[in-house]
Order: sequence, then C-alpha cells, then structure tokens
Amino acid sequence: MNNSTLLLMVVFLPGVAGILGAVFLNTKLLHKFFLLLSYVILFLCSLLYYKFAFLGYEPISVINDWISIGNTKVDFYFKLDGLNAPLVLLGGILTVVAVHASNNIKDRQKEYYLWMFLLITGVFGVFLSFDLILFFFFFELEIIPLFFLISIWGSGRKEYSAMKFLLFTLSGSAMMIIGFLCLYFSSSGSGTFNIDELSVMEFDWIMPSTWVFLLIFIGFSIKLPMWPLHGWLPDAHTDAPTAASVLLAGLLLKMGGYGILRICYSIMPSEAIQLSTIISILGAISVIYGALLTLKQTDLKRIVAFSSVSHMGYILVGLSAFASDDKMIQKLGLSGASFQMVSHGLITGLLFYLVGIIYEKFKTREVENLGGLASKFKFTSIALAISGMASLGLPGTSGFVSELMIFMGGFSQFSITTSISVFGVVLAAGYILWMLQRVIYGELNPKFSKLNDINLIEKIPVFILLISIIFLGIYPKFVTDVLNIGLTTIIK
Amino acid sequence: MIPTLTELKLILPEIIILFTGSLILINGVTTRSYTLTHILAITGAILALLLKLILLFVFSYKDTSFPFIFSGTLVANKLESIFSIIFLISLISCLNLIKLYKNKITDYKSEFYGMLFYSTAGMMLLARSNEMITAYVALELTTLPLVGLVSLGKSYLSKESAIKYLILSAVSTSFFLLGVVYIYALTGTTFISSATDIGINIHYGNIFQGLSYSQLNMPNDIYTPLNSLNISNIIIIISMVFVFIGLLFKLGVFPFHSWIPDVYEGAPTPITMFLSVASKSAGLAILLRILLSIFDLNDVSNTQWNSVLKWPDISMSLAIMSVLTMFTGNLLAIRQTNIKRMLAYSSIAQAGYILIGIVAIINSNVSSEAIYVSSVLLAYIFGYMFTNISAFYSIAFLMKNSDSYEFNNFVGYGRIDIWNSLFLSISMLSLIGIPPTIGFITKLFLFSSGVSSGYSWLIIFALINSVISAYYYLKVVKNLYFVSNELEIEKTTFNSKLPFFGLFLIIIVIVFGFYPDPIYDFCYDAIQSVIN
Repeated sequence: MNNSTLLLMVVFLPGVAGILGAVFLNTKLLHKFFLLLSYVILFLCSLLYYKFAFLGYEPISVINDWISIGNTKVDFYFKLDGLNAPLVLLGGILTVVAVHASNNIKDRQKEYYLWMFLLITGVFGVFLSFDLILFFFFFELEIIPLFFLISIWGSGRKEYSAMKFLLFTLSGSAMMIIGFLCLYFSSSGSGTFNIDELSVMEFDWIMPSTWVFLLIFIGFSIKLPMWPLHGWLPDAHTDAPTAASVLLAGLLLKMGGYGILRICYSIMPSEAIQLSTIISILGAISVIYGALLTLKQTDLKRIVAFSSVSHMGYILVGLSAFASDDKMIQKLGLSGASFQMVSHGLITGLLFYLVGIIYEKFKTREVENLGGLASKFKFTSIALAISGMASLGLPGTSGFVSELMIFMGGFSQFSITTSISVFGVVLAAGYILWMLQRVIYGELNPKFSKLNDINLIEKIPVFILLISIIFLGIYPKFVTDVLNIGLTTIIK
Repeated sequence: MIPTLTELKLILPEIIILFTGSLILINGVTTRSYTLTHILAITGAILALLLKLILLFVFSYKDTSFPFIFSGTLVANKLESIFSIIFLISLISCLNLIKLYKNKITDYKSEFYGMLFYSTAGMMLLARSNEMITAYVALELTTLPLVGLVSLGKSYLSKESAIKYLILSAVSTSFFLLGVVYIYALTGTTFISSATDIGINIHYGNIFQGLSYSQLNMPNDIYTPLNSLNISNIIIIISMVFVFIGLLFKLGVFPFHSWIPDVYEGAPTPITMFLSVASKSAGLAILLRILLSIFDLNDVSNTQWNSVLKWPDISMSLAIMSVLTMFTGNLLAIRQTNIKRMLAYSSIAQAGYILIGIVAIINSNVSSEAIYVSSVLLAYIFGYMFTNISAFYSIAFLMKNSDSYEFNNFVGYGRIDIWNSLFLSISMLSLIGIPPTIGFITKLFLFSSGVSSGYSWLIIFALINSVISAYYYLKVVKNLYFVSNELEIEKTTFNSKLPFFGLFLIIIVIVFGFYPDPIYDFCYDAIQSVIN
C-alpha cells in the first residue's frame, strides 16, 4: 500500500501544466509545448499500464480526510486497477491525437488548450478515483471545459449544442448525486463514500434499492448515451471542434460505461442482475435505433456520431450477461463490454480525426460533395477504409473482438435481444460501406485536385491509432488479461 | 450593571464600527472632505475586522468561559464571529465599490458612509444577541439605515425602491415584534438561551424551555381536530410563525420575496451587494441562533419541547416554501435581461436552498445530527456569501462606466476587461455549483443534509432547480465570452488592471473549493460551541 506519485501525476499533470502553459507561454510556442506535454502524458500512462500489466504494480494514492465533518469523511483516494488501466492508456493515446488535431486552431489558443487539458484532468480523475464524492467532483469538472470548447471553437449551431450538452449532463449528474447520497446514508455503520468499502457492504436501504440503482444508472446512461437519452450527442459531436469530438467520443462516453461497471455493478450486483433484462432490451434498442438513424445521415461527422449511439448500445448488451449463473459467461460479457469501450475509443477517435482532416481540406462534410479521394489522397483513403472496417467489426481489428465477446456473453442469457442487436452489424455494414463508396471511389471533384494529401506530422496519430486497432484485433489478450484482473472485484 | 473590562474587550469591534460611523458624521458637518471620510471608513472597517480576527483566533474564544456578556443579552462565540466576518468583509468591499460609484450616489457622502457603518454595527449586534428585544433593536438599527442607503442613489428608481423597502420591512419587523410579545406573554422571558454556567444570580429563562413548560400536550398529528388544541398551543404556534415571518422576510423566502427584485435593481450597486450579502446573513444569523437554542436543553429527546417546532406542520410548510421559493426564483430569473434583477431572483432561489438546511435542523433528533446539519448549512452560507460578494464586486467593476445593467451591455467584455470577466464567470460557476469552486462542495453537503433528514423529495426538487439555474448563470458567461464585439473593443479602453480585492475573494472561492476541510472544521467547532 505505497503512495504513488505516478498516479497523482497522471491525474494532475494535464490540468496544472495546462494552466501554467496557458498563463505563461508565448502563443507561438503553445502548440509545441502541448504536443510535448501530450507525449509525456502518453508516456506516463503507458508506464502505468506496463507496470500494472506485467510487473504486478498496483498503485494507490490516498490523502485521508480531504473533507471531514464530524463523522462524515471523504478521502482523496485514487487507485489503478484492471478496469481503469486500459482506459487510462486509451486516455493517453487520445490526448496525443487531440493535440495533433488542434494544429489548425489559431483563435484564442491559450484558452483552448487550458480548457482541453482541464478536460483531460477531469477524465483521468473520473477513471482513477475510488471515492464517490471525488468521482463526482471530477465528473462535474469535465462539463464546463467541454461546454467552452464546443461553444467557442465549434461550428454550426454551436451555442445551442453546447447548452443542450450541458443541461443533459447536469440532469444526469443531478440524478447520480441523489443515488450517491442514498448509498452513503444506506451504508451501515457511520457511512462511507469509499467505493471499495461500499462494494463489500451490507446495506440498510433508505429508499428502494432498485430506485437507487436506476438513479445512478440513468445518470450514467445519459453520458453513455443510451436510447432514449441520446439527444444531446449528435448535436454536440457535429458542432464540436475535431479535438473535442475525439475526446468526447473517445473518453467522455466511456465515463458512462465505466461508471456503470464501477459503481452500479460493483456496489449493487443483485439489483444489476434483477434489472438486466431491461438493460439488455435498452441496449438492443440503442444498437438498432442508432444504426437506423445513421443510415439516414449524409454528413460525415453525423454518421460517426450516430454510429456511436449504436456502438455504445453493444456495451449495455454485454453488461446484461451479468445475469448469468456461469462465471465464464459473466466474465465474457463484462470484459467484452469493457473491451468495446477501449476499441470504440480508438476507432471513433480515428474516424473523427480523419473527418476533421477532410473537413479542414475540403471545407465540407457532406458525402455527396466528396468523392474520388482514393485517386489523390491515398493515405487518408486507406486510413478511412481501415477504420470503417474496424467500426463494422471486421476480423483482425479490435472491433471484431469486442463484438464477438459481447454477443457470446449476451446470447446465453438474453438470446432474443442479442440476436436483434447482431443486426446492428449488418446495418453498420450498410452505412459504413455506403459512406466509403461515396467518399473514396468515384470521380474527384475537380476543384479539389490542387490539394495535397496529409503531411507526415498529421500522419503520426493515424499511425498510432491504426497500429493499436490492428494490434488489439490480433492480440486482444493484451487488454483482456488486465480487464479480467479488474473484474474479479465484480464477479465474486 | 457596569460592564467589566472583559466584556468591553469582547464587544470592541462593534464599538469601533459605531465610533467610526459617528466620526464620519462629525466629519460630514465639519470639513466635508470626501477623502478624509473614505480614509476614516476604510481604516475603521479594517481595524474592526482585524480585531475580530484577533479576538477569534488569539484570545478568548478558545475557552468558552465567557459565552454570555452584558447580563446575558449578548453572546461571544465562534458562530457570531463567522457572521461578523462576513459582514465586515462585505462592508470593506462595499467601501471599495462606493469609491468607484461616487458620482452615482448622493452628494451627502459622509451621511452615506455613516449609515453604512451604523447598519453594519446593527448586524453585528443582531448576530450576537441572545435576547429578543435586543435582537429587535439591532434589527431596526440594521434596517433603517439601509432604507436610507437605498434611497440615496441618484436615479428615480432608487427612491421608489426605498419606499417599498421601508414599508415592507416595517411590516415584517412588526410581525417579528408581535411574535416576541406573544412569546413573552407565554413564558415570561425574552432570552433565547439560558446562561446557566456563569455566576450570574438570576436564572434567565429559555424560550424553548419556557414554551415547553407553558403548554401541556401538543398534538403530534396535523389532522388533530381543532378543539383538542388548547389556547396556549395555538398561541405558541402563532408566536413562532410570526417570528419566522419576520426573519424569512429578510431572507426573501417565497411569499415574502416580492421586494427583492425591485429593491436590488433600484439600489446603487454597492448597496445591492451589501443588501444581498450582509442583510441576508444577518437574518440568517438570528434565525440560526433561535433554532439552535432548542439543542441547548439538557434532555433533547424530551417530547415536551420537541413538540414546539417538531409539530409536523412547521417543518413541512418550510419544506414546501423552500420548493416554491426555488421555483419562483429560478423560473423568473430565466426571463430577466437585467443582470441585477437576475441576481436578485437568483438570491431568492438560493434562499430556497438555505431553507433545506433549516428544515434539516428542525428535523434532527439528536444533537450530534443537529451539529452536522447546521455546520453544513453554515458552510453553505459562508460559501454562498463569498461567491455573491465576488459576483457583485466584479459586476460593479465591469459596469462602472455604464448606467444600464442589461445583458447586451457587456457582450464581449471578456476580451476588454479580462480579470473582472474571469472573476464574474468563476462566481457564476460557483453559484451553479460546479467544481472546483466552493459552491460545488458546500451545495453537495447541503443536499446530503436534506437526504439525511428524510426529505429526499425536497432534494430532487432542489437538484431540478440546480439544473435550471445553470441556464441563466451561463447566459452571463456566454455574453462575456462567446459573442465577439469588435465595435466595443475599439470604443472602450482595454482594461487589464487586476483588482486585488476581487482576486482575494476569488482565491477564497477556489482554494476552499479544492480543499474545503478548514471551513467545515471551523463551522463544526462554531456550532459545537453553541450547542455543546
């Protein structure tokens, strides 16, 4: 039980360095400084992951009594375990991608980077904190930076979308905090906010326990987002700047899934089993509904955004496998769901990055105005094709592994809803292939013929993400082993 | 009875404030120099604040051997010190602002300053009074100069709002007095809390003790038929209700809220700040004092006294008032286009949140629970007051060259006046309750006290309101930053001067947002010293 400075650094370095950099640095140096910082963060995250996965290093940092009022105590408690380690690594990768994607931001740079790195601190804080109040602190911390990122540097109806995102998220956290307080006042003894202690505790419920579960669950499903609470996501994605889209799709949505696993499932397992039919049904509806809506979209960014709704539905389908009696099935479903978070983070991050580049070059995202990219923009086209294939779950990519695990886990328990959600893959093939066909093949619009393919620096994040996607597709054990360590706290 | 030296020492800050006020008035009829007035005022206020801090941290309050002074009419403890510090800090920021606004208020500057000081002294006495008549006198000393202050703006609105304030506050204060009279008739005492520990021969009564002796059986059920209520029970209820009405008026709770928007809009901005912070916390201080005196009784579980405030009607009606107050404040705030009116409605909404804490105090059964919920409430009040001072302070600086407080007027100011816009935005985030500001953590624990007292439905309403309020608070931020206003930037001089006092306030808001433990420790001690 040694205190780990590495852990604290991962959480606080982005925010502190972001503030210092934005206050003291010259505007010309800004992008380079934050690029360097993002690689440092990636290095730290990889180091943490490596030490955790291969050296059995389990870091904890605790500062006791962050707040104490009489008997009520809140600790400053961070911990790395199997569930959040992959997400932390994903966070490091996407930070690099996001900073690369911000190269073209020239307006109010200092504020931009300040908000972006505060957002990243919030995300790491959510992933690593093991105290309900601390968790909530970081969960709320991330709202305002994203609000500013969308509404100042966004496009289209940016203020509307930002406000919509904010109100949806705040309503979610309002419900969540009632749930947290109920957990606190229901826990026996003098009460605790510590997630570790709560997950082994007998409760004396002050409110029906399924209500508490549902309050927290709904709070997280707004973030996930689950049908019918997904209304904010397409707008926020479409109008956000590229880097914010990457972070939003890659990391913020994962906070929802991670929160359900970490808080709902590990603290209230019996309620989770009780309600898993509903979770499975909602997951299947999200998958199909999201996919159907995606089929109707013609804007590249909206296609990726709506497909996120569909892909996050798979997470719920995977989570519903928890109702099974067989531990193997439970493990398959839950680790499939967690793997889907990582995999979707990488794939969608790449797709948003590429769409951002296309928009920056061609100044349009409408599928019908594009076409023939393969003739001149070979690298972009290949990357877009591979990421599209990964998104629809082609074997050899990480998307295939996660969907396979989810379907295997879900089928044994809820065969009907799982079978329905399998059709999501078919629909995904529909919209992805349609999109690829229109964008990559065909005639290149002559007015674009003077443009050049992306340069080497812009290619770096594409390489990083492509390699990760294919590596995880071939060798998923790299993540699933770690996830299984983490799931031992939930599957007892 | 001749006061002893110790008693005089404990009341020195109030004496300094009153003395400075008088000195300023004398200056007003002799030299009439504005500079001298201002210097006198700043010196007096800072001296009083320093003395209060020294008294609090260095001297006597560590041991509670002098809780009651001046024959038990006043108290000296940590609780009243917190409130006095809030009053004095808002006085100092008010003085800073008056200097900016000196062209917009009356030419009788010394009288203006003098009344401000008298009002502050009234508040400080109100916060520490332990006897209802003293409290009443202090309340009048607070209110009457404030009426004058509101009326001394140069605009027509300011006169109108002064009349409104005068009439409504006179009515509410008379309710308070009537309640006190009833209580005296029933119990034969006007002392809020008894002074049992010190060597004074007379045993002062205690209102709640007195009340519990004076009545025999309170119905526990709301649906008890009227004839089983004996006459003294009805009078007890009436007296408590009257006292509550008088004090809830100060807070701006729902049926008594209508004066707030008009008066806030009409008053000169420094006085608006003073009203919203100091006057409001003065009402809260005495309310808290009365409520907490219940827990002074030895046997807390005694059903006799329990029934006085625990009669379900009182806490339930307070809870309903809280819901109505929150909705009134928040829904009406959405429609405002004037930032002063918006903050007025927001302060009504905040009064609704504060009522949650009061409901929780009334509902607590054991004194440890009461200590918890009231220290949480106290921390919330502390955080809210500092945020509010900071918000008004930066608004006053932003708008110092303009007469109108419409939202359109500060479009794009984020690029013109960097620091004040930043401070205003941070205060708005703190009012919504977004980390890492003090508003987040204090609001969270305030809501937790509501859940612990069994009013989960009230918390659900409060959270709905929290979300609603985000909309209009962020509208301010949006106007400051999102809309660029090239015309304004050319026209107005770029201002990057850092307001140091504003910085100090914001540092309090943020540092205690990250690390709120000292606040909670202090509040816990303060409440414990009252309840023991």
